[in-house]
Amino acid sequence: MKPDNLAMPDTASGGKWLNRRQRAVIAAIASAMVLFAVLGFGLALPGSGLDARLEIRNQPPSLSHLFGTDWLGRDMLTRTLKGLTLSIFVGLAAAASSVLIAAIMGLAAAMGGRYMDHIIGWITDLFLSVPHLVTLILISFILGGGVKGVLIGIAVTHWPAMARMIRAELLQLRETDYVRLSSRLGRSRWWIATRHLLPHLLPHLLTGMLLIFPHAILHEASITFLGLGLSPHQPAIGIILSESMRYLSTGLWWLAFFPGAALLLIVRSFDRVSEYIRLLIHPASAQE
Amino acid sequence: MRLEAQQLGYRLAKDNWLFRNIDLTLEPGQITGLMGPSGAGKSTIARILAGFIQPAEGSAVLKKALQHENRERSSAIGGAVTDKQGWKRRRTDGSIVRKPGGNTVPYPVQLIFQHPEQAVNPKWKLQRIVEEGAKPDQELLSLLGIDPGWLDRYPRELSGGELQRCCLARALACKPSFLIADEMTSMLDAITQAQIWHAVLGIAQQQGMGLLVISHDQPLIRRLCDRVIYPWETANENKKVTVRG
Repeated sequence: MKPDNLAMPDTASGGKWLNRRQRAVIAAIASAMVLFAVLGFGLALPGSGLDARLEIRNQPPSLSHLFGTDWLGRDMLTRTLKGLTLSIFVGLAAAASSVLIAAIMGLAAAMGGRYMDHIIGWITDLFLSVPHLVTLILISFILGGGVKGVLIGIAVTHWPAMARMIRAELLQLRETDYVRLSSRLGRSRWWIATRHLLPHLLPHLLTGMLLIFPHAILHEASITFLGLGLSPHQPAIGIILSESMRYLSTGLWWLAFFPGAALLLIVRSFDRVSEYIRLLIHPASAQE
Repeated sequence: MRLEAQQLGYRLAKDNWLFRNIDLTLEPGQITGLMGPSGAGKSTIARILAGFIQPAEGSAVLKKALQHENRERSSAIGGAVTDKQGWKRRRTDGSIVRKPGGNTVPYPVQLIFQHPEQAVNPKWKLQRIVEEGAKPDQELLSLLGIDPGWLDRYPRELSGGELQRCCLARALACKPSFLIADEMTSMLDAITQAQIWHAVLGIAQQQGMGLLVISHDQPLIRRLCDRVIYPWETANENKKVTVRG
């Protein structure tokens, strides 16, 4: 054993040349760029690529059609980007409303007294006891599918876990001296909830939203894939994937590969960013 | 206006009484010292008197005294106050007295904690913290030695003594009838202690405020207080305690 090794124990782990904060910032910038690129192209691309042009159908990827064309001659790049735009919109809206419901439920459970706590706990357990997808399919089916059905379905099914976390957090915060003292100083529960508790929750809500977003997109895609979500003429990723299943066996691999890979890329990048942010915000792991 | 507690009892579990049969009375303008061995429930008594927790027994007399207090207050504010005592049973202590704005009137008994760091919201600036109950006038701030520059800072940017002065300003701005100081200056050095107590005693005398001083510091209590009570001596035969000094 050489004494040099003792003096420089860090050389073994020299591969980590960035700390977590730097990696989080880079991941956040990269995924934001991906997101904005997809949104920008999806909105900017002309709709002409979606028109059926039977003379160029079933073409493999080429320079003029990067993702190839489908059995009606529609440009797959246009379809994928437009589909992702719709998916991102649905995902963001559903995640935001989910977080809103979770925040309201959590606050009400923590501040609304014992009976409110019981009732909300019961509702939460009810939603958690059934698998996400089953409730989602039911709600979406009842509402008649479409963007509205999927949005409401995802928003209503994704809040329980988060509401529980918020409630636990608030129960702890409620027992701190400064919150208890606030009511002694003559402040109402509503005042305490909005001035003391809600600002404390904001980082949690932001991370929660970023964590729910990939779920929402995947669930939107899967429910559309099952035929209960968006209608077939809309350029949604789920529609593209379910339609291309029929053509996979005939060798048209590009119909499913590029849209699927794009969806995976979006979801994965968001997952990474939210995981980094969660680790950075959480005090126990913030300094690692 | 008196703060009367009769037959107070508090237990942690069934048949595990922290204390029972505690009687004490706080008179306005009087400075009372509360002594007792550690773990005897001094802080619990302070929290019960300030309405933070409910006693397991003996709450009736305390409640009655405070209801009387509420009636006094309601007439002072101008008839816009409704007593919602029966509305929520958890807060039978009288803090549910609504102002027209929706908030309640500050509780007439204010408690000062031992650790001011835990008694302030770390995300608020001192200005907001100090004005949470009522806006303190300039005279009070200067009497407590609060530098106006502190109010623009966050709690972690102030020392413990500075924070404790701000907590005092917050409590005293509400013009409480009684102030309970639970080891208020235990973590401060002697000079700061003297400054703070000097200011508090002056305000208590000026406003006719009753003061309950809870401390381990016997010389301090003897110096400050008009009378010293030791409620365990007579109340609880089961607990073997000795009075020193």
